[in-house]
Amino acid sequence: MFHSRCIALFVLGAALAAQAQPAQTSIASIESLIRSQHYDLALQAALSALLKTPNDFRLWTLEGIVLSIKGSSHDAMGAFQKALSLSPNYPAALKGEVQLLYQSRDKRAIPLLERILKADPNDETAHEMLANIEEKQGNCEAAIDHFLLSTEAIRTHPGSLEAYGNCLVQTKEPQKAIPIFEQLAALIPGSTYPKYDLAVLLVEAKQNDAALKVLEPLLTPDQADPDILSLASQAYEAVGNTPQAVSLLHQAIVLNTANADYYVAFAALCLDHDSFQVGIDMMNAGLFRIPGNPSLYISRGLLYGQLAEFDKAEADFNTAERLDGKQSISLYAKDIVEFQRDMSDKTHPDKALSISEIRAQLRAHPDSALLHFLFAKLLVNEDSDTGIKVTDEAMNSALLAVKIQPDLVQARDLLASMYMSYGKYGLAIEQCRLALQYAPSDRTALYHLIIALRRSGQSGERDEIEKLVKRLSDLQQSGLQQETARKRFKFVEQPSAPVQ
Amino acid sequence: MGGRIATPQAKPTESGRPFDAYFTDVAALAGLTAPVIYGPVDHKDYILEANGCGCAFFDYDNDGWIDIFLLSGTRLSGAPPGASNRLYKNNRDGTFTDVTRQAGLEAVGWANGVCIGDYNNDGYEDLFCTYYGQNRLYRNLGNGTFKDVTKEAGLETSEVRWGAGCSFLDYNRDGHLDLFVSNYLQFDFEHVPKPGSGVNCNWKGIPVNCGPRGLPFGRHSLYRNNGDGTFTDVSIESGFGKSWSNYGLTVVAADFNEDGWPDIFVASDSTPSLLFINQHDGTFKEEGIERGVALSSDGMEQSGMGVGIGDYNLDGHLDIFVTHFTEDSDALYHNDGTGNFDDTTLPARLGVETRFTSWGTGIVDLDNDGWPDIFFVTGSVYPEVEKQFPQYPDKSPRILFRNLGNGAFEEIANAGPGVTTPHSSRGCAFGDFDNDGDLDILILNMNAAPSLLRNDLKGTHHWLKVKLVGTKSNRSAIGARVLARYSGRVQAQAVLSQSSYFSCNDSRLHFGLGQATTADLTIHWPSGLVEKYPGVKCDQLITIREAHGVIPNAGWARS
Repeated sequence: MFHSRCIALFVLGAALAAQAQPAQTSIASIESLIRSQHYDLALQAALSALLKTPNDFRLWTLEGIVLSIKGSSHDAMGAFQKALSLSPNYPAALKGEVQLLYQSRDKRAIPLLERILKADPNDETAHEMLANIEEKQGNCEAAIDHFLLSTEAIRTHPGSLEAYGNCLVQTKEPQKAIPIFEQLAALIPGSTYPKYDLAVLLVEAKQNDAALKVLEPLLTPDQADPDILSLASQAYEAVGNTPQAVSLLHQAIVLNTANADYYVAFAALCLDHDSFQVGIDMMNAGLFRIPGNPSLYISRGLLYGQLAEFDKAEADFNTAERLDGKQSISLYAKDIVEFQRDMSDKTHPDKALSISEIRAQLRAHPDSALLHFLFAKLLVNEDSDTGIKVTDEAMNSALLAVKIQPDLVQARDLLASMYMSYGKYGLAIEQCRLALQYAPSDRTALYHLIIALRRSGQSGERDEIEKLVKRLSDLQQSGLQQETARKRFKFVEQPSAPVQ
Repeated sequence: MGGRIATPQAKPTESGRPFDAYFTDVAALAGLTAPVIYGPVDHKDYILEANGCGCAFFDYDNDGWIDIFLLSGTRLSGAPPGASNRLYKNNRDGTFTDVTRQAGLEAVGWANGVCIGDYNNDGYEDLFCTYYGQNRLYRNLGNGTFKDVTKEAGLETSEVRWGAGCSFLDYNRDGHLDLFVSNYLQFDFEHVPKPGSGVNCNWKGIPVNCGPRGLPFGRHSLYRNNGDGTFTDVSIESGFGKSWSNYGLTVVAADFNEDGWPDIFVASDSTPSLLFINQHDGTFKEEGIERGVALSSDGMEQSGMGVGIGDYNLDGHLDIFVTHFTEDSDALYHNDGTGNFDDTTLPARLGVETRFTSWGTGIVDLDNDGWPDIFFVTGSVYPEVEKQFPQYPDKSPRILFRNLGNGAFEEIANAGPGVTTPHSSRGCAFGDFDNDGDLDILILNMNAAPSLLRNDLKGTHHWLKVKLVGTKSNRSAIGARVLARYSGRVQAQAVLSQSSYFSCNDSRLHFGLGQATTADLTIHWPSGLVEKYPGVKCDQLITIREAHGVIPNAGWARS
């Protein structure tokens, strides 16, 4: 990205700027030799001059520049450091040393760059360098601050654009990352990865049509990257083109039969289209290719659960957990099915086990909002079973969940429900309104809000209730339409299995 | 049907308390052997063939012994011989005689619901049957025969509609029974897709009959009784003119908010159920969602089929139980007395049972312990699915939850073979066909003979039956609300024209009293009159005539 010639000129420019000093004649001649690319002569001249004036930081700096150009990085570093020991803020020496450190994104460049920026806060190159080093160090928030101050400089630097975009994604600003990856894709149109990264972001942002615009040129008959095919499949499914989604995912699986992610994606399609047996058959094919993969067991377990084959589902979840006990998701899936099954022969010890499992998971992942929510849900269900009011533990766990993840609307819905059971309609209303801020289409929150408002007995809420009822009805209608659109296709197995 | 999937509650430890009711299917012994025809046996190409129909316990000849009326469907390939609605006369010895032909009630078609009421106040209960096609009003002539008076009553329609639930009610309190009819959806064979060919024509990946989702909604109708044997369609002026985006099924009319005027609840399939509140001026306002009785506790529409009405927690108010589709929980809504409801399904521990599609139901005291229990029948709408997925059987057992008296219920697995033997059932009605002081159950089974579950109740619990005869109110006293106080508690019941699934119960209200030997009765007549009868002795039927007091029972005899 930063070629040494560019930086040498940048440093030399800084040296020239400091010419109103003694020994000007020798300095000028050395600079002249450097400009004319007579580096050996320039080095000899610098060494000679230093014999006469060994404390001239400018000569040390010029020596460093020449050594740097000649590739003697270690000696160059020594020269720049000597210069800086004589004149700590001498810009040319600072930049020279920074340049050397920057080659390897060495974090020792950071204080030097900060000194440069103290002298010149608008130095975009310094900001860009600092941003890239901070990104390398994993300090994305600091990196973003400096990328923002170097927008002109990074415009033509693919590496910086990529680092900037990655940082925006890591700091959960994917929307801001989209234009950065668009710039990157335009800057290197022959390269595939920026387009893929951009498409990933667009799909995650539910801008599926835009994602397909990016991806479709890549969907050539000879496309051999299954990740691209899988991503395109996801986008096609989102826009309702299920046949294309299935076709592409099928290609992805054929190209890489050992990647469990593609099978899992296929299982998700089958779940969405009520094609559970087809999904199970595909998971069986996957497990034939990659035996012992916990994700495939989880997916198959979920599919079995949909067919009320709870014993098989539970067996799969247990297998998944045995294979990879750290997978919280398997616990989650198990929870879903465990409560779906008819537990006619089961009583509380089994449920206590589930609660103890979640307690263990919470000890391992105390910051998991989802686990706190699931724990609260389990406790509430148990309270319902025993006919007692919800416990403080359930309430606290749900509150913790929304504290950790304020947009976890399921937890807010649960809280609202708990508050209503206590007759605390004001608090229920507050939770419903917060949930609706994050998810305006959350029908549960809307319904709870209607009931809580009516029960609260507050005057003046009549108009709001009527509006909310209308809104809920509209959501129900649109939900039906969406479901209808989603269910347009079901999967039918062909005589020959595609993957075997 | 279908959609929402609920996670079942875990079953709690059994209470260990004995349950005294025991049910034996005596239908064959009683002479109820003719099968109820309803579409093909092992598959259903159309939703019309799947929904089935209702039945009734009612005393058509006023002899004090309840008779049986069973609706019937047909087949697209042609009705097999004997396919007809059937009326069975109670022989007062545990058997019945098929009197369909002599009663003039032979009819073949896609019948759905039945509601009972004396619409002309002549002292004999009349019949109204809904159909896909033309609904039928049968006037009871009082001589053991009925006359189809649909046309002369002004109830004939020019268009083909799918009449579903129905209920007589006196919505304007003029003493004449009006009629409400829910229309399920708009259906015609030309346009309904074949199994597997449309968006809503698959279940678990298996091609099945299509709908209701994707099919156009029906419109519900209210007919005002003109008092001269005719009815006027007042749907538009009363507020029912618009389409409610709703697939309405069973209809129950009762005074849920206790303002003295009957309201209307419509259990609704795959859409929010409806609660129409009577505005006292000839109009109704739909308030199901805000009153908390339209949706599940998480705000989702369910597949409302059947409706049980009763007072499960003995607080004097009418609660509602709604049956739903397989993999979803049925729903219990507790009425706070103002017509506002709380979903108490989970606290009541009814969420443990989600295996089957549920239909006819009742909140009824089957063991006379004074606490109304919950009973419902089950059966698949997709009989073809069990071939591939045996976990979804066509035939499934009846479900009985006994009331534990603490707000919770407990599923009873050993209440006799009448409960445990699997069937594909739809309607059911509750009544005491043998007049022995407990509630028996009539069940309509698809393409099979009906079940008649005789309750062989043990124990020493007492009971009381109340038969009401209106004078200023409609003669059937439909809409009357009775409060029975016993053992320091109060239980509400109402005289209904339809409940369960498209069915009608014995109009004699049955109160189990537990160990109490007397009950204080308060009767809220539809006319607005409130009468009190303190200290009524147990183990008897009393007949009360509005504003006249207790009168002799008509033909009543203990078996």
